[in-house]
Amino acid sequence: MSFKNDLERRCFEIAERALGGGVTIDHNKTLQIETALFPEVASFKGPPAKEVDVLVAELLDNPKVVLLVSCKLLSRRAEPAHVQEWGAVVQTMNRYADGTVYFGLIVSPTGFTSGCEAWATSHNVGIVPPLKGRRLTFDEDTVLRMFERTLIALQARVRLRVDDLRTAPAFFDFVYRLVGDFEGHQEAEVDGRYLLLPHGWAASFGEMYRAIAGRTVQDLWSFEGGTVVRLSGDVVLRFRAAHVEFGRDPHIQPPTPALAPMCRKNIEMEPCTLDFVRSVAVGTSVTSAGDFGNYLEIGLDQAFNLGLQDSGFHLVSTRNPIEDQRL
Amino acid sequence: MAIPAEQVMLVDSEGQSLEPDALIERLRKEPHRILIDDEVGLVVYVGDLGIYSLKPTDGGAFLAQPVTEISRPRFSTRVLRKQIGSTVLSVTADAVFVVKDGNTLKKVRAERLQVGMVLASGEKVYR
Repeated sequence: MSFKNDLERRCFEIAERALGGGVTIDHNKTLQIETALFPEVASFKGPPAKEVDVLVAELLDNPKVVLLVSCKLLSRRAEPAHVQEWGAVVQTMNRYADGTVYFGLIVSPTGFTSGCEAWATSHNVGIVPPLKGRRLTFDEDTVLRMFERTLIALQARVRLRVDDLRTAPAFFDFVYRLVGDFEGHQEAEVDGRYLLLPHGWAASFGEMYRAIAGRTVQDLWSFEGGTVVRLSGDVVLRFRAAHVEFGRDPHIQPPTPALAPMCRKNIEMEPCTLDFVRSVAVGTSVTSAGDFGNYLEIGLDQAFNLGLQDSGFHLVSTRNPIEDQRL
Repeated sequence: MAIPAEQVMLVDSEGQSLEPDALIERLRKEPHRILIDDEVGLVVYVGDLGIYSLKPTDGGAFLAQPVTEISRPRFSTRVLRKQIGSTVLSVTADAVFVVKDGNTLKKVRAERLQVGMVLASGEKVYR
């Protein structure tokens, strides 16, 4: 397989990975049509044949559904003419399809000018990245993640139903919904404090709390530069000064030999042992959480606050009166 | 006008209100409906379930539109509360409104919508 540029190669590899095969690249493919009298030919630059570079991705066998992808490696944003051209190509292919359903998608890492949306909508062509929100341009890696997401979801979608996507602007809208949420996701990724295991996906404090709330503490230990609480349901909460990781990790184990964390208790932060912290915390359930930057505190049974620090733990009773509830 | 995902009002074909969280959790158990579930969020297919979303119109009534997919982004865009005419709405910060600007119309994002602006529909922005 030969590629005209790196974008085309990366799009091909992503499509192969996402769809599991059935992907080809055609360069200077001639779009054969029977006559030049049809209206869709009017937008072509040449006589009744048009040469295009196309990534062809077969999404479904029966009925045959094919996605035609145009990978635009441009120095500026794609313009309405690019969308019109691809819309005409897809329209013509569908016109002479003989049972095959074609959808069109344009991937342009430099983005699209605002005039493209109207043409993409009316031609029912998907565009990646979307014209949405404050950010109209994304880095190439993000655009390619959008492309991969679109392919995976589209393949699943056409297995369920195809016909409704053929009516403009249903396919455009479908792609838009899939890639429109990247803006919020990118903002969360920049923050990068909360990571969801096992994939290390960007997450939020709220998501972290939902994952640990109500779960029972089963064990806790420290490792070089951080601390871990293992909770019921194979969920772990791992704290380092810069990151808070959480989620399912059934294989996590304490390091051997075990490290001796610095443990403290009560408001005065008196020294104590890890075994003492374990004796109080294990068996209790998470009832609250707070992120204080250099430590993370989780409430247990609405009776204790367990602090996770990068060098150890602290444990404080939250019951009153304080002097009678010392640990 | 855009309605944030968290504020979507869903009803079934009988007009009965559906609770989005409960619906999503129920549909998670039907893997063939899950179009994508990744770091960006979850999208499930509901095109065969007769589900409609209710969108408020400028007149205060609701327009029912069939829903084919429900998207549950893990990170949605910022949500603002705006009062336009007599209606108080939650809108995403990037929602676009068409406002009157002298004798012409211009598009303004919700985050730049200012008190006193008048929409193309004639309704005034109060907050």
